[in-house]
Amino acid sequence: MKFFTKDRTPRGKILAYCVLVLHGAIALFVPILHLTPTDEQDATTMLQGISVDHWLGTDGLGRDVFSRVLHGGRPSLVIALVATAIAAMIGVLLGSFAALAGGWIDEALSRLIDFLLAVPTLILLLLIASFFGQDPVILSLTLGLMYAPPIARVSRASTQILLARDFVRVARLQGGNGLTILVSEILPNIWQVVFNEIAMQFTWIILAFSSLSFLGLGVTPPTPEWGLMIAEARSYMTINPVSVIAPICMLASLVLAVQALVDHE
Amino acid sequence: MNNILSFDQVCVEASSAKAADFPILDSISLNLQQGESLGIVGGSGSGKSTLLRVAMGILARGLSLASGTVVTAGVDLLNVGPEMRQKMYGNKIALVPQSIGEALSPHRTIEGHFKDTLGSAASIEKIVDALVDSGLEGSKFLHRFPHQVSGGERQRILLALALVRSPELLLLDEPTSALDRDVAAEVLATISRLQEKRRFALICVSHDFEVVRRTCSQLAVMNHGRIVERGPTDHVLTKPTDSYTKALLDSIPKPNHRIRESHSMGPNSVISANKISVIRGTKNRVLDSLDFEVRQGEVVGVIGQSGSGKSTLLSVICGLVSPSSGSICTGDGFDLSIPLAKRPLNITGAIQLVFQNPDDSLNPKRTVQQSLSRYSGATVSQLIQVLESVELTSTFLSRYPSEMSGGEKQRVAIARALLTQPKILLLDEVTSALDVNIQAAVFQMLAKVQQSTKMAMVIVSHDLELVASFADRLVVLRDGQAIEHDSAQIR
Repeated sequence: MKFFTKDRTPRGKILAYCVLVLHGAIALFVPILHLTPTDEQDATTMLQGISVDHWLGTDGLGRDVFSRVLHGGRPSLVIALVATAIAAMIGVLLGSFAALAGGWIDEALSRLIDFLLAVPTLILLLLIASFFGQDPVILSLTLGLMYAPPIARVSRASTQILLARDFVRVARLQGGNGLTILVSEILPNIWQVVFNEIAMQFTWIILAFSSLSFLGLGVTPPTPEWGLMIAEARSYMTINPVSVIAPICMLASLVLAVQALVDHE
Repeated sequence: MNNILSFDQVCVEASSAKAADFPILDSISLNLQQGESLGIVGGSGSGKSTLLRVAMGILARGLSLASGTVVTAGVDLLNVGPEMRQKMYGNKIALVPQSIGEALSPHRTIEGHFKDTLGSAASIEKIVDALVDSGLEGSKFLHRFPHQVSGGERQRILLALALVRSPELLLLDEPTSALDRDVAAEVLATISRLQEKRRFALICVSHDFEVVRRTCSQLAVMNHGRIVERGPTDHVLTKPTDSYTKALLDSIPKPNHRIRESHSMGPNSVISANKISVIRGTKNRVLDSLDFEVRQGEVVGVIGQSGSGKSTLLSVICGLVSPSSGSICTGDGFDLSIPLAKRPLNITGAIQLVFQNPDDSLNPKRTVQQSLSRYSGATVSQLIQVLESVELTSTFLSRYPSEMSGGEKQRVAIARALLTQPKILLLDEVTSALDVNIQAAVFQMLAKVQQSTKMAMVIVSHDLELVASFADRLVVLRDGQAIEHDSAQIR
């Protein structure tokens, strides 16, 4: 239980863990909380402020902002987790394979990574979303592919450093092939660095997906999603500011918590 | 007379929960006056480097001063601000660090380094004088960059830099560990000459008694953070009273004492190389038309200065480097110039290499058992057997590299090489990272292994005495060529 020892666990880290656990718990358990349904419209209670019935007020269609904010993380989290898993798989395999193979294979894969990094992500996502619609599978795959290159770069660089280590040379001298060396010697030793990079990309993916929703190409209304909620509520920002501030706070707290944890690792 | 350095009952402890079993420094008391010189000898982890740092007012992260006081040149450096410490450095105390390769900025000329140190007081005459004092032809070096000077010259430049502002106390951390034998002797002579002339107080930390014998009049031996023995250098060296000091002294290889008796070797060669060359870059010939042969059961020692091609020779034999020209083959005629990945498993297994640095040769994330069995596929009983052959017990199987000492790690690395039952074992400076008493133990273990398995060995080292007391035959390399083959002549 290193985490709870008195020895210098930074408070920021504890706070970040708590925020993450809270986000996870909300996303998992919000359906069983019997809150006001997120799509229940009430023309008589439009754009109300904070009240006992509506803790964070209501939006332009009279929907309960509190309920929508709590539900709003679910689509982002699911898509971001799937996309991050895809990005991690592609990135780690591509990067470490390039380093292990060396020579022209490394050169070709590195240029491919450079090319993918040069493509403007949001514009490509907009294109894909306009062509294929708001299909979550296609969006996850595209996000995964677009956010894999930074992970691949970090994996490649860390693998290259390890290749010069004596224990990797010994593995070669003892007859280890590329795959066994990758699994036994390289991955356990680059995992920490690569994991940090993966966590960083997770936050970028969440932000990218929310941006898509903000632009109307992420989730389909009336599904609650933070980016979409910000877009919908910004016209009434002066009447009920909480309806914009609440999804912004949720999005920001999730991204900050992940980044703070990465910083403390 | 004034004390330049005084330690009074100094205890330094590690503050973290994963602390060592003993204090890092335990009740250290010592006084050093002008013109005195104190050598500190001890194994790794004995606290000698911490003592040097504490003298400079620095405590590494995780360490705290539990009790005692340290006064350096009249100032309690551990309790003053960084500005005051900075003022003292160079003026009152100076340090020559161990890693001379990293101590000079690669983008500054030698003159630039002196100007940084001297500030407005810098003048060409002063810089040249300082360099000449350290035994260098001063004006030649002014405009050179650090990579344009040799190791010995770099050490002299660092010495001149440390002394240019006439400090009262000079601290040397392993002053010759990066230098070849002959160069080291010259540098040590310069240090003693300067100390006699300038009368500064000197502390010299080393794991090598010879370094301290040549530079210091007083000697302290440290073990587990304590000074176990202290006295005039000659007296401690000739009549040691403490058991640890005796053990350290006993483990120094003595002239004409053999760790391993020579044996008759088989008629067939295990490796034979004919005019092999390795060229790096465009024209740097690391190996230059070298002929080399190892016969069955033979132990060949390869010695030479750094950069002479010793490690490259081993890399060529085991396949990590392919020769640019020439032929190399096994006794059965298998061509070893093909890359490692294309060699069949029985050939890779028959040639095993043990690397110099034990900290780097084991995967830090795997236990000994995982490291040993990963590629050999050996059973637990085979693993225990091989661990016993390197004088380790089965309890090591579950340990991670971080839970072992340098000597233990090196034994595990040797055990791993033995598991494939090699016909030839290549040892690249396997003991240079180890303390002198552990070096001897590892070599004795290797002698037993060699006697029981009768395998051929190639031992690369820059330590002539150690290799000569172990090998059947010596090969001296210089600039990639073998210049001598006869062990009798060398000794």
